Amino acid sequence: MNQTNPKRKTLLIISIIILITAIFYFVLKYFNKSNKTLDSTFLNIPIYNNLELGISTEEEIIQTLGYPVEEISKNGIKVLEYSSKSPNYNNELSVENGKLAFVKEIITLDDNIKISDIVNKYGDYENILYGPNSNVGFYLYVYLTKGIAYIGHQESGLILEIWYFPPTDFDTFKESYASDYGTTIPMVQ
Amino acid sequence: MNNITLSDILWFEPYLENFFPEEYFGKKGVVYRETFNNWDRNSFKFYLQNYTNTKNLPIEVSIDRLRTWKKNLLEGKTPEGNMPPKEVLENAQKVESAKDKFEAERLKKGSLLESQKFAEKLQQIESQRIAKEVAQAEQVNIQETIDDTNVTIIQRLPTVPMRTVITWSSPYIDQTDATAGELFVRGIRSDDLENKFQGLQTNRQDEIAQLISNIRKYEEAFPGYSKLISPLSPKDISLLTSADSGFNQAQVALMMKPFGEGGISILPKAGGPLGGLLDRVGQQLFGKAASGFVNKTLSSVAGKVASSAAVSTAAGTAASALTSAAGGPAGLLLFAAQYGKQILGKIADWISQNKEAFIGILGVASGFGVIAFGGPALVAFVPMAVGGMSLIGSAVGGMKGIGKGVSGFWNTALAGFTTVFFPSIGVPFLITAITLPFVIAIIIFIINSGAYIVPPSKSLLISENTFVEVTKDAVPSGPFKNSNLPLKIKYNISVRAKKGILTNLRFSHTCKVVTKNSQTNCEASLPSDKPDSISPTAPYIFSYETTYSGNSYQDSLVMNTFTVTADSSSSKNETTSGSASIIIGEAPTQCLTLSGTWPGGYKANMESAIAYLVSNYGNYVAKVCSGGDLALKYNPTSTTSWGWFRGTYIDFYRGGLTSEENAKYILAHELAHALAKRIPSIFSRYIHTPNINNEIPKCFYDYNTSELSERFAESVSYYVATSCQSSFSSKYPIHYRFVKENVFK
Repeated sequence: MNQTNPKRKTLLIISIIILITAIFYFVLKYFNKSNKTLDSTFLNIPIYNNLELGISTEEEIIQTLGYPVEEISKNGIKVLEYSSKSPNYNNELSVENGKLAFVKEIITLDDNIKISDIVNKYGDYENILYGPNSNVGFYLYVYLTKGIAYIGHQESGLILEIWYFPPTDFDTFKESYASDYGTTIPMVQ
Repeated sequence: MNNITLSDILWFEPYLENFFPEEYFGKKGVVYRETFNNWDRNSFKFYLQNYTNTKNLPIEVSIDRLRTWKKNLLEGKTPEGNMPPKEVLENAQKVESAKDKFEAERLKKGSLLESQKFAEKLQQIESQRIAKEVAQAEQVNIQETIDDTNVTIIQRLPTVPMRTVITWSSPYIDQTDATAGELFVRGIRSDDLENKFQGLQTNRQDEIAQLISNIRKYEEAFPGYSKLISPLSPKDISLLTSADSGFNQAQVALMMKPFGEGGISILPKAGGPLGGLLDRVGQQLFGKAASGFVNKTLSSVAGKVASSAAVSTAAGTAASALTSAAGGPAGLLLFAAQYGKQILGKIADWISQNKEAFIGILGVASGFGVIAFGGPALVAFVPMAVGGMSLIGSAVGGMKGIGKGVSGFWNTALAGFTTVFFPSIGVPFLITAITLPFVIAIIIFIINSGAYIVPPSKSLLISENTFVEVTKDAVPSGPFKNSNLPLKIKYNISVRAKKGILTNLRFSHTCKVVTKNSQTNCEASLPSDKPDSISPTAPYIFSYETTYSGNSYQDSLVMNTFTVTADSSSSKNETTSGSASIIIGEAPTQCLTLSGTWPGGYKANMESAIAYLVSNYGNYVAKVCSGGDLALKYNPTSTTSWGWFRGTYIDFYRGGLTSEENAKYILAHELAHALAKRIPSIFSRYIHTPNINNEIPKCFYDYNTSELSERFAESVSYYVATSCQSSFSSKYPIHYRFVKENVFK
């Protein structure tokens, strides 16, 4: 009888160690995930279909959205195109240095997304730019600190496009994403 | 500072070869590409015209400008003229290396915008320069008096070829040469002009000296013509330096009496001996060939102007032989008898040495019908205004091909002709004799087939009549309430001769009452004292009163149009109209209100356009008006634009208001912008209509095709414009279905 006690004791100690290790592992994992989420929220990193701008990798994009309908390259940047509800235009996800760098989401009437949805989530816009179709009231409303912009028509609430990008300053935004937009409405006859 | 390099200019060449091979190579029938290096032909043309500051001019002018700059650079000179900064080209060059169509579109848009800004800046500078020059320039006008009562048709006829060639060449040659040429063909002698200008106190001495020198070049180059024109040369030249002449010009202008009549009339280059229409067509078709001949001949004698030695060429021989003939009525017959065989012999020699070119011209002539009817729809021809008639349309690309083919032929042939024939007589005679039938045939074809020509810019669709002006106004002008009925209105009509006396006057007068549900005629008086003629110094004024009463005038638009047809010295059956309209009650204009000051005729045309849209496309107007009132303003500042949607109102400019048809088109176009703004869901639906991007509808406005809002507006006006609508459903079925279902239903 004295011979089985040391074996049971050893077994018990090993079980406790395993249990503590497991608890420790799960606690750490949970804590890391929480931290990651807290960081994203704290830094206002925009999220598009569970993908984080500047963070999600190409692999994660494909895992989340599937393979793109088309893959093209713009100035050395890979652009993955995914179908939208428009028969003429695809959604575009730009991948730079392996990370999701920019998203252009095409919005049609069927998407039923309004300006109020964006305002409810992100508040009032920070900047406004003018470019194509601005002569008929579609302006580019930008949230630089939140990494969101949309081309919309304020009176009706209609949106044509939503852009997602890592939060940045005005000059960088204009140069990187909106070089054909300006601060005055272009005159079109 | 301008730092354009040769490589910048060379960059354009492959694009010109692919997009405009006909114009670039001067070869007829070469197929062009619609897209090249991520550029599309229309966008590139827009960009090129801005870059070379040749907006609204034929593409050949843009190409010529590039060629001139290239030549300057190759010769180590600084290119002349306003050249764009290097930055304008950089984005354009990036387009070809764009990785995908979206990037290409983005870069194209950027470069088009930049080029447009540059062109507008140049326009502004030019306007300021001209304004300054006009303000500073002294007015020096030449008036000549001709006593041609004893000059016969036989004496006039031999002068026609040279006068035709000079008139046709004038838009394509140096301005001072053109002015000198116009003076020369009318018999103004350099010595006489020099004598008259002696002692004249003016700050234009250098210009005048140059002008006299240029006239001497013509006299040296074409001594035979000087003899021919002598019976018609002016007996006296007067100088008018006061503002009483009624003209304000930055250059020396010639005012002449028309042959056989008295009074001050036309300016140079306003219309040659063949009549305004033929000259305009001739200039467009054969101006280059004519200018080639003129330039080459003038440059050959440029060094001899100072000397008085006779030119010892065959021309000189002919001139001396013609001296005795020119003065008499048999001059032309003598010329034909003495030189006809020689000319025919030379023609035969030339044909044997240039069989290919001759076959080419035969091919052109025989293929005229095929090309004209079977050619692709191209924006090929230059704009024309034929009285009040509009010329717009398609399927006449072959016309330009014919013109280019003939002028190409002449460019080759002239080298031989000018060393063989008599420059004063033979060449101009042959040019006119051979090319004139083409010109006439083309005009007859246009008129008979009802074909139209697409002008390169909206502003030239229908231009104001250059001979007659009719204005009409209503006093009081209203608007009125229904309770104002019965309503007595006085109408004042003025008919003015703009150039020369008008004869053979014919008047017509219409009155229409447009209500929401009907359109009826009303009474319109005609004057009982119609004059036999109207001179430029004494317009004809006609006034009458009319009373509108009864229910039929309630809530109506009453439109009066007075039309005048008349003959001038150089043109027959010139027609134009003046309109006046009044609004009573709730006229069928819905939310569209004319705001600010509107000149009478333009107001009437716009009100007519409003009434037309309301009556025929009421659903469309109702949709626009669902967003509230929309003010329509007349803006006198621009002559190239037709309209501009400003968000809360629309500016209309003169170009789009010169006729009811133009007003209908531009109103429909601008209202479409308002519709897209007021009901953006229609615009969103338009953008996402399947395959909508495969069509680019163009009635005649050469817009930036990457601008979706312009494409949308153009498709709406396509549906409305009488001149385009019949082809809409077949040419652009997707757009047709879309606007029909979403805009007009």
